[in-house]
Amino acid sequence: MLDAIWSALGEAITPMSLLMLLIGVVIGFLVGILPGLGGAVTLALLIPVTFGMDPVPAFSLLLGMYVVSAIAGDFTSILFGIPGEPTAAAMVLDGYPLNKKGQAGRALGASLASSAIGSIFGAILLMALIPVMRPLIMSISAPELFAAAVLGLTFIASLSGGSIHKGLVMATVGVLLSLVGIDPNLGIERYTFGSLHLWEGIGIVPVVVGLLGGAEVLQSMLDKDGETKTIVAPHLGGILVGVKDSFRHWWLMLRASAIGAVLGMLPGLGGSVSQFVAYGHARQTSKRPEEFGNGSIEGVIAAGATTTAKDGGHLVPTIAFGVPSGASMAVLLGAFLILGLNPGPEMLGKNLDVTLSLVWIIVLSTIAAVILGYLLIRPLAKLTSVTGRLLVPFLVAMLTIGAFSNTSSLDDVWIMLVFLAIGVLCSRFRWPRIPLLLGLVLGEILERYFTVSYSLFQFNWVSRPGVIIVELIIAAMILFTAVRVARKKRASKRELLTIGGHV
Amino acid sequence: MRKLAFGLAALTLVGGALTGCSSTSAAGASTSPQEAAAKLKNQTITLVVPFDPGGGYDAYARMVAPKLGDELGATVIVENRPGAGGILATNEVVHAKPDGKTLVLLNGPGHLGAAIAKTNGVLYDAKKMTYIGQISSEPDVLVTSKSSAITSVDDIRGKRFAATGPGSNEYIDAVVLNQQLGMNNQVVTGFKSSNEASLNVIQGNVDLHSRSLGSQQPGINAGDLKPILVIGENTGEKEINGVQNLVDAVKDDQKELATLHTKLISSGRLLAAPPGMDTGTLQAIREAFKKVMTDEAFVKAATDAKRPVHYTSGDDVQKLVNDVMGSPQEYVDLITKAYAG
Repeated sequence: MLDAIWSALGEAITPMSLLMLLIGVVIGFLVGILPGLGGAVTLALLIPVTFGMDPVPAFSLLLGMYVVSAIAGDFTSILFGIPGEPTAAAMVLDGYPLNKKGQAGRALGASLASSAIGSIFGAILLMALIPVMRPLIMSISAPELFAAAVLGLTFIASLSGGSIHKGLVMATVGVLLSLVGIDPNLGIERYTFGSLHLWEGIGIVPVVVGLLGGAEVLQSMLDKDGETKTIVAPHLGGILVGVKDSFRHWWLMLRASAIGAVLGMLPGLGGSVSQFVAYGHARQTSKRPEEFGNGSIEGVIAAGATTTAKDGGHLVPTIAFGVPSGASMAVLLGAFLILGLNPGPEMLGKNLDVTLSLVWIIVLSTIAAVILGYLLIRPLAKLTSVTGRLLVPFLVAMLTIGAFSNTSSLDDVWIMLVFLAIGVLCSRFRWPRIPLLLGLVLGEILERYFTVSYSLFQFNWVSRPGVIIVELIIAAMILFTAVRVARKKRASKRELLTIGGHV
Repeated sequence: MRKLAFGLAALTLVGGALTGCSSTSAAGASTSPQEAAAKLKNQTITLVVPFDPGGGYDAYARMVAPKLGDELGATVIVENRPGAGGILATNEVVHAKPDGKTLVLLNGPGHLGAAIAKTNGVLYDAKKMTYIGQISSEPDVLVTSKSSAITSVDDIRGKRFAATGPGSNEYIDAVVLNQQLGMNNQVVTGFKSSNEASLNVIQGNVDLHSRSLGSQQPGINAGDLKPILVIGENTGEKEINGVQNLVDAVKDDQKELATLHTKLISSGRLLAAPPGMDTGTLQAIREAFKKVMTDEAFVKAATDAKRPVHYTSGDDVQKLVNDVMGSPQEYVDLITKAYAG
C-alpha cells in the first residue's frame, strides 16, 4: 500500500499532470469567484478537453478545477456577501460581517487556511477508507439518509440567532416551500400553479443568491448615507492573523472537516447541508456564541473547512459503486467511464494507483490554490474599499447571472427576487434566514427518504445499525444542549441574586 | 454525391409538397437545400439540451455540435434548459422559428411517452415536430443484484422494482413488464436518482431495476449486477450477449405491444427542430447531420468516448414517431398508467 501511495505521487507530479493541475487551478479560481458559473457546468465543459489524455493528467485538470472552485467560492461570500457557490452560503454569515468591520483580510486568511486543512482532511479520509469503502457504502441506504436529515434539523436551534421560536417558524416555512414540485412517489404536481419550471421544486441556487446576497446588495442600495459600509480602509495586514486564528481553533477546524467529509459520503444528502451543520455545531460549542452572525472568526473557520472536506467524502460512493452524490460528481463519474475506469472493485484493485493519485491531486491542487489565493487576497481585498454605490451595478449583474445560470431560465431570476424581498424583511425585522434555507434543503430529503425507507423496510429500518448511531448522536446533542441551557440559566440566576444582594 | 443529394432534395421537395407534411411554409417559401445551406452559413445555431449539463444528453450534444457546425459552416452552441423531464424545453422549442437556428436533442422514449400519455404540461404534437435524425439508440436492460436468487425472467414474479418516479423510463418499463408478463409487482419509487435506485438493488434492498444499457454497463462489468432481460433491440454488446429479449419472453397475444414498446425504447436520442421547417432547410440540415454521423473518424471517436452513435435518417425517425403515436388504445392506456403513478 505504501509503495502504491508513493508511485501514485510520482504519477501526479509528472510535468503533464502538473501543467494540467495548474490550468485546472486557475480555471477553478475564476469559476469559484464568479457566482453562477458552477463547478458542475465547468466540469461538463472541460470533459471534451480530456479526450485522449491519460487518466492522471485528465483528473489533475478536472478535480484540480473542482477542488479549487470550492475554495475560491468562499472569497465571493466574504467580499460581496454573495455566495460564489451554493456550498459557500454559510461563509456569508460571518465572513461578510467581518469584511464590513474592515477585517476582510483576516476573514480571507482564515477561510483560506481552514479550506486547505479541510480539503487535505477529506483527501486523507478518502485514502484511509479505501479498504472499507465498499462494505461501508453497502450499509448506507434511505433510512441512514433520513436519520442524517433529522440530525440536520436539530441544528435549527443554534442557527436561529436569538429566538428559537422565530427559527422554528422560518424552518417550517422552508419545509413547506420544499413541498413545491412533482411529488416523488405519485408524480402529482404540488403548488406548481401551472408552471413547468416549478416541477423540479424551488432551486437552492436562486434562493441562496437572493436570500443572502440579494438582501445585502439591496440594503447597501437603500442605504443613502453609506452606513452599512464602514469607510475604514480594509485591514490588509490581517491575512496572517486569520491564518493564525484558524490554527488557534485547530480542534474546531478538524471537527468541521470531519462533519463535511462524513456527511459528504452520504449520496443524496448533497453538499449544502453539511456547511450549516458544521456552522451550527461551531456556534453550539463556542465560548462566544453571541458573535456568530456578527463576524465570528469561528464561523468562518467552520464554514471554510466543511466546504472543501466534503469533496473527499463525495468521491467515496462515486469510486466504490459509481453512485455520485451530486451534479458535479455525476459529471466526474462520466469522466471515469470515458477514460476507461470502472468504478467498483476495479478502482480499488487494478486501478488503485489512479484512485490514490486522486488523493494526491486534491492535496496538490489545494497547495496551489493556497499559494495563488495568498497572492490574490491583497488585490481582491482592495475591492472592498470601493464605495457601495459604485459596486452595486456590478453586484446586481452578478446576482442576476447567478440566479439565471441555475437552469438558464428567467423564472429563476423571479424566484431570486422574491427571496431577495424576504431576505430584506428578515434582516430588517431580525428573523433568522438560515433556518429557512435549511428547511428548504432538508424538507425534500426528509420527505423523500422517509417514504423510500418505509417502502423498502416498513418500520424495521428504525433498528438498522447506521440509524441507531445517528439516533444516539441526536440524543447526545439534545442532552448536551439541555445541560448547557440549564447551566446558563442557573448561572444567570446566581448573578442576578448576587447583584440583588449588593443592592 | 452532390448530384445525388440534389436529386434526393428534389424528391423530398415533391414528396413534401404532395403529402403536405411540411404544412404551412412549405408551399410558398420553400428554398433549395443549397440556398438554405447558404443562409445558415456563419450563423449561430442553438442546440437545446433539455437536461442538466454533464449527463448523457449533454455529452452527446457537445460531441455532435462542433462537427455539425463544421458541416454547415455555422457555429452550433449547446444550451442546457433542464426542467419537467424535458417537457419544458420541448414546449419552448416548438414555438421557436423553424429557420434551422434552433435544434433540440430529445429523449425519444420520454418525449414520445409523455406525448402518448398526454401528460400534464405537454403542449406540443410530437408528430408535427421536424426530425433531423437519430444520434444514438440503446436498449434498456433489466438487472438484479449478483447475489440475488433471480436467474431469469421466470423468477421475477412478486419481486419489487426500483424507480425514481412515475413517468421516468425505468417506471414505464416496470409498468409495461407487469402488464405484459401478467404480474402485479410493486414499484418502489422516490429514489433521488437512477444511480441511487441502482445502489439499492446492489445492496439487496429491492430486486429489479431497468434502465439504459449505457447506465447498466459499469455495474454489470464491476460484477455487482446481472442482466435478466433486454427491453428494446439488442445491440449486441458483450454485457447483454445472449440475454433474453422482452419480445421473446411474452405470450403470443402480447407480442404486438412488446414490439411497440421496443420501438419506443429504441427511439433513443433524437435531433429535432420546431414544426413547419421548409424542406430546403430541413434537407440541408439532415444532409449535414448524416455526413457527421457517417464519418468514420467521428464514429470511432464516439465509441472510444463510451458514447456510441447509432444513425437513423430523419425520414425513418418520422415514421417511427408516427407508428408510436398511432399506437392502439391498449398501449396508450398502459403508458398513461405509467405516467399517472
